[in-house]
Amino acid sequence: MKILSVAFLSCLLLAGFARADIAVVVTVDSPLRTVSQNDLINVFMGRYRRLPTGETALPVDLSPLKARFYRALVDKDLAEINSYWARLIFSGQASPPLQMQESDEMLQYIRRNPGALGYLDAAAVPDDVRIVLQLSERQAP
Amino acid sequence: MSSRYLLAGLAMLGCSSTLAADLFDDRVTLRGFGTLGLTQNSSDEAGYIRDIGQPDGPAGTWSAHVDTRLGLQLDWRINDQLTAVVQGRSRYNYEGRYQPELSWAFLRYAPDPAVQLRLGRIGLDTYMLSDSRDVGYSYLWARPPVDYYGYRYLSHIDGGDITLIRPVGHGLLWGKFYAGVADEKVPSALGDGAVFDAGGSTVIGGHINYEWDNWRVQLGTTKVKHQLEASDAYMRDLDSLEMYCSFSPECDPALPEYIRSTFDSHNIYITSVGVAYDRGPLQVQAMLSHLDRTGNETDVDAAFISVGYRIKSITPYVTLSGSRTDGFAYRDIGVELDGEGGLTQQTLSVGARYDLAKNLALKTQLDYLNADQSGLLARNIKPDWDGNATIFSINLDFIF
Repeated sequence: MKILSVAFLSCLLLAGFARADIAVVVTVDSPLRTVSQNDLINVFMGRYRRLPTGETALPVDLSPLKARFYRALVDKDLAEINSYWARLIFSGQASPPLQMQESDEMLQYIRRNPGALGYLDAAAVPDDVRIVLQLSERQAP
Repeated sequence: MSSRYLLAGLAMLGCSSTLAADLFDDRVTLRGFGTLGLTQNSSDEAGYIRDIGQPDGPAGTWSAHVDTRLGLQLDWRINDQLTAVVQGRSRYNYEGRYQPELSWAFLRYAPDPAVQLRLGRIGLDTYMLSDSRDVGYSYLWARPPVDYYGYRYLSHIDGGDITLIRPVGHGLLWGKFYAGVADEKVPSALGDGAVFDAGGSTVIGGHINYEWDNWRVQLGTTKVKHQLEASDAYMRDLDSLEMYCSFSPECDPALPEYIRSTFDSHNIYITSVGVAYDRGPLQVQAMLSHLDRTGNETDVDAAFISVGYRIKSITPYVTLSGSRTDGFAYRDIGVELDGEGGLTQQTLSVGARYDLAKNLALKTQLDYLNADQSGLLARNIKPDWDGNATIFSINLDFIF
């Protein structure tokens, strides 16, 4: 009985964990093994797009997951992210990440470009991409 | 009539409900921004303006001219390193018209993530946020703090800038250096309808930034070789006034002398420091600047601090801003008025931004303004104005 309830609890926890993570991915051909949250903020917020490997980063936003990603990355909602980019775009300083609607489209782009970085629900990561950072959705930086 | 460009633009916007249109295989992107604003000034003794580029402002009335504006921008990604950007903008201008103008037109070349060059007509960001002042959607306020940004009217230069970035310690150290020639006009502060041309003023400067975690600090310095030109007709009138004042006891020759001195080419040195803290729902910004000109009377010290905190889709904020000059007695420049000219005023602003839909924000703001010397930032001032005004604004900001 006790073992059962422990198993049940672990299941609940694991399910919660799986649902609550976002995986940042690159192609398996990329030399990049891991990236820090700080570097990832620099790349996705358009501050500095050089990867630790020296390559130029090509960030991709996946529209259905965008709100969850930026909440986990910088604890901001989409209106704030759009407002942030409005400043950079309309002052002509930088371009936002590529916007993609479908994860298949994004994965194709990632496979073709060694510098590309995208994100997926951690529960749905295919074999031919590498997770370089797992963002927990339960704790903000 | 004067707002037909803006209306045409807004009509266009209404027709194309598609947002940020990508054309030609994603290489060309058309985007826009705008504000529909309504501003009411409680005082009927001084016209409220947002910056000295505006010839007049509401006094005891409502006005849509203070904040309303529209911009369109075309980004053409020529290749991975090279992008061309063109932006046109329409706002209540120095003549009180909405005639569109070219705000930017430049090539951006980034051979490497650590280097960026821009060449052409570029935004002048002497201070944090000063090259995005027209994009209401990008900030919390109804308009950037007027005491701080209001008397800086040069928005762009024809020239170039270079940005260099490198990681240092835990953060990023980056610098931007710019140089170019201004091409802008400004209305006379005397409300006489005259327009002066600052074209040909040269600008050189830069800023150094360090960004780490939730912080950003900026130190900047700029030198402007400022020159202002009036029309030939205006200069002939000034000659006549000078003649008249030289023999008439009713006119003090100090007045035409003062007016003429505003057309002397002179150097302006601007130094500034800015700090921004941004963590989750909390946004804090504080800036301080000093503007140094020949003679101490019109050196300007300005500062503001603003704090906003987001609660779901509503962000209340409060801002305190002020500017200081030593000033000069009006009588010293031959004006028969008591009191001082200069730019000493302070404003307490409270407001809220409500993100009511995607890319659409509604703002309301109350400004309590108090002017000790009302040199530039109010228009058509009545001699008995006590220096107080309450400004109420309701703005709709959008991007597409």
